[in-house]
Order: sequence, then C-alpha cells, then structure tokens
Amino acid sequence: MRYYFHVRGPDGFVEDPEGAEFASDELATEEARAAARELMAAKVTKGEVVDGGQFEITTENGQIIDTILFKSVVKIE
Amino acid sequence: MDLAEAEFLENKLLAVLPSKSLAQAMAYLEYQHLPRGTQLAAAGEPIDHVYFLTSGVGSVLAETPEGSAAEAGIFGREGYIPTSAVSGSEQSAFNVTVQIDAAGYRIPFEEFRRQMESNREFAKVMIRAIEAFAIQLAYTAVSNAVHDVTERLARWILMCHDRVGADELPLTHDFISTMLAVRRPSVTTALHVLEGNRFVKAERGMLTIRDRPALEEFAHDAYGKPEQEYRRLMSGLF
Repeated sequence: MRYYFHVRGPDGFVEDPEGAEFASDELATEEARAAARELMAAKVTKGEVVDGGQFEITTENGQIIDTILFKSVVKIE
Repeated sequence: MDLAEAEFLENKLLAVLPSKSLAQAMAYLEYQHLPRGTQLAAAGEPIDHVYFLTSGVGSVLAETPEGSAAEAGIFGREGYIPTSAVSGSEQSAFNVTVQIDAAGYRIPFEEFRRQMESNREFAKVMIRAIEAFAIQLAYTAVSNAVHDVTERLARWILMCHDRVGADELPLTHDFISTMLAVRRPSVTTALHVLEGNRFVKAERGMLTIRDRPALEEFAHDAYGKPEQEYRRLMSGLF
C-alpha cells in the first residue's frame, strides 16, 4: 500500500507528492512518528518554534488514516 | 580529431589528457549506455571495469554490516569510478550505482592497471582525480556535521546540476533521502523551503533549477570548496 505524509502546519500545507510503500497502516504510522521526531529535532537545533505541525497520513485515494501531531512524539519525561 | 574522439572529451579526465596519452588508452575504451540503477561496482566484489562517465550521475554508497546505508559521494563526467582501482586493489570498497541515466566509457580493470603503470600522464590525472574525490568526501562529512538539511539539499542539488549540465534533474524524494541520509518527509519539507524561495521547482520525480545564483547564495559555505579544489587540481597539469 502507498501512503502519503502530508504536512499541515502554521506555514500552510506541504503536499507529499510521491508517498512510500508500507505493508500496513501501523508501519506507515510508525515511520511517520520517526520522521516527526527527525523534523522536531531539526527545529529544536535551529531554535525554531516546535508547536503546530502535524502529518496527515493518507492512502492513495486521499483517505486520512491518521494524523500525527509533531509535538506528540517528543518525550518530555 | 574525429567525432568519436570528441565524445571522449565529454569526460573531463579524458579531456585533460595530452592527445598522445589519450590515444594510448582510447583503444581499450568501450562506450556504454548506463541507465539508472546500473550497478558499476559492488562492495567486496572484484572490479571488472573502470568507468569514465560522459553524462549522468552515479553515487557511491557506504553500507554498515547491519544494512544502514548513506551516500558517501557522487560522480559524473568529472571523474572515474570505482576509485579503489587506482590503488591496484581489485576489490571495490563500495556499492557504486547509476542514479541519473548515464553514458560513458569503460576500460577493463587489467587494462586500467597497465595504463597506470605505462602511461605516466594517465596515472597523473587519475591520482589527481582521486584527490579531488577525497576532497569531495571530506566536505560531505563536514556538511553532514554542520549544515542543516535544507542547506545540504541545496549543496547536493548544485552538485548534481554541475554534473548533469541541464536545468531539469530527474530526482525523486526517495532517492534524495538516501543521499542525504534523512527520512523522506525531511526532504519534502526542505524542498518546500527551496521552492518557496523560488530557487527550484519540484514536480513528481523531476526537479527544475530556476535560480542557480540564488541557490548558491543560500547554500553559502556548504557548496563551492571541493569544486574550487577540483579546478586547481586539474589545471596546469601538462
């Protein structure tokens, strides 16, 4: 199955034009969480505001299977 | 000079050779179309041929024993590959794969070795080329350590642009993510920044350069030093 990780944030909507193959919704969500951690780490390093962004994980026909708030992947404690 | 010879000169290393020296090597050079995905050398495997691209781009991928891989360097018409060949070692240390449809000349490994021993000018150019490649690898290491993803992406697009020589670069986000050793969404968001600045236009599987000078300015010190060193190494040789 092909999944798309679109980004919705304070700066608008960033479309994922290509997507990637995953065997299940769970694996796609897992990858999106890992990617969210990477994006957050980059923002923290640059001293940027980290609040606000999220992934919309969609299937090929545009159905949203999950949204991942970027800040939800940061473990504070 | 005939047409066939003119084609040789699309490779910058062959072009810099004095004509007598090129003539010695020419008889063993065989023209090849090398579509994307062609493996030119495999880690731990014998080197069959040494390649001099005249178009397209290939990458050198370093892989850990557990299977994590990242690009170490890229090459095109400015170099030869696999660079391990210059040491006389018959085994490639890396996976070397064509990433943008390429063409070029290949020479059997044994003949490459003979040229290294008998053709002084040829050897001089190959050794200069490996120094230039080592400089590229060193600056990639620096860039990975100090620049953010968007700057590294800008650097890498400029390096591909130099080698392809056209404004349209067939690059997927998936491929770029392997090259920069980041996850795909980091490429998507970094490209969005470059697009927002109107430096590039990204369509599915195709990246178009819109404003190269501005892209260079954005990349600032992430780009330029290895390119400058290459020009220094390849000038005034003979």
